[in-house]
Amino acid sequence: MIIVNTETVPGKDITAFHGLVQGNTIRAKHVGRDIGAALKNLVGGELQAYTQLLTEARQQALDRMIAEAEGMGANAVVNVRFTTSSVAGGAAELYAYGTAVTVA
Amino acid sequence: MGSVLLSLAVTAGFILLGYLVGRSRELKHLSELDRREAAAAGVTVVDVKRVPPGFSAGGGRLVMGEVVIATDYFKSFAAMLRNIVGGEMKAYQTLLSRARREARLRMIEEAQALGADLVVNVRFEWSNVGPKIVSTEIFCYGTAITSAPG
Repeated sequence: MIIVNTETVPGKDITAFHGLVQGNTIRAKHVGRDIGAALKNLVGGELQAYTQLLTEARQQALDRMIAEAEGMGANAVVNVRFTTSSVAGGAAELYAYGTAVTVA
Repeated sequence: MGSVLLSLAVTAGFILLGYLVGRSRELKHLSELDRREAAAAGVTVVDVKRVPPGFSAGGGRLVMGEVVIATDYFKSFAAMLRNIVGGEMKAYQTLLSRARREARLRMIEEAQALGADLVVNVRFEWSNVGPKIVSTEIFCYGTAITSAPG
């Protein structure tokens, strides 16, 4: 499965369009992470626990999008976009979407 | 009276801690960024959608980089003062630019691991993490162009 955020796959031709595919996930942080982050707020620096949480969540949203594309018989997803939104209670939604296509 | 003095002393202590530790961490991060950016100089990064002339395109792969960076107590305090008089918030400006550089580097390093020397259609996204914590998430993504088909 080829995933790109350009409108075409460079070096290949799109032979069929299958339509929009999407994947999302909503992740909550746990209290321990918040406490660690509050301490980090004193001295500054990267919040590695949050970075890791978001990276995993984004990968899961992508995986769900890819699974939908596979179900359509596509071999690539083009023009992939991401959005993030916060849901009540400090949870974050990660959403990935794109167009499933067949390339040759 | 005593408790007021105590809380003032604690606040001053946090500000000093934030200034000393936060500043040394920031300088360390900046020198690390300089070093890694020099190592990543071979990768061309553009935000146009097409492959620029002179590059061969065999295929593309999504590459991503992200980072969540927190501010320190001194910067929060400086920003609070800045809010009273207005003007540019230098304290947060450096924080955001460091976060962008870090996210961009992580994306480039992923492209390098794929053997790509070009990343097109690069986009930056920003989001806020939690209302209680003064921090920012920067997400950078693009399509790494590989010369070999795949």
